[in-house]
Amino acid sequence: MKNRLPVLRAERGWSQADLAQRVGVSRQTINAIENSRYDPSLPLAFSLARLFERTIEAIFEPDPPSTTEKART
Amino acid sequence: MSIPWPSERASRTGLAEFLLAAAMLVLGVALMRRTLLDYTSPGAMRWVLAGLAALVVSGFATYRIVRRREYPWILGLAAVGLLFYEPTPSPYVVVDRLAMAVRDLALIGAAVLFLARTMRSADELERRIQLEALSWSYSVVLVALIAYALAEDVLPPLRGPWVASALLGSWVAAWLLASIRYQR
Repeated sequence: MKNRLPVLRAERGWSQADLAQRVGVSRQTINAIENSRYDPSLPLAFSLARLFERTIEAIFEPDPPSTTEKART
Repeated sequence: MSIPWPSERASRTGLAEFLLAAAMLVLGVALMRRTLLDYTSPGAMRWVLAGLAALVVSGFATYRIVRRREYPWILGLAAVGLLFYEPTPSPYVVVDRLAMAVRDLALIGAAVLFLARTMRSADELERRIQLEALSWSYSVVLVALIAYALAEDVLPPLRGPWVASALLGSWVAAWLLASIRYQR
């Protein structure tokens, strides 16, 4: 899942550690989310959305559906 | 305090020190055992001193790892150490037995408390990594135990510390691999 966390974080001049501290997770978790290695839980996604005063959809963008998913629909 | 990631805690220096500590531990124990089996030979003292020197080097490397709190390497060393663990026979005197029981309970209690506190304070990704690591290590050891059971007749008797060592060692390996997967 793609996301705009690095951009939103840079706009505020926060480091990964700053953001991690504000939402109560480890810096590595923020790093994994930013690099699309880990999809956050719903509570964490809401926390991030609240912090950046955006909707979840404005921060996270789901991957395009795969060919099998398209065929199923 | 949350579980630190191997990328932050398990440094390359720590890996080198872990390998040194493990090698010296194996060497030291082997030399001491060799001496105990043949303590009347003229060169016995030399072997004792060599074994002690190896154990001192191992202890120093372990101290450096513990001081930096590199948990994966500490647990890895515990897995190596467990291979050589041989419980001493219970003492005859009741008071001594009680003292030993209290000491063992305190050690186990401290380990359980540390684990519980660490897991409780871990964030969602750390918990996920631990869950993946533990499920892999449990599965690997389970398969190994089943394989052992099938060939039990031709293999040496299995000892409890070996199983504990395998569980601990596979947990650390799976922990490192799982955490690397979430990093770039």
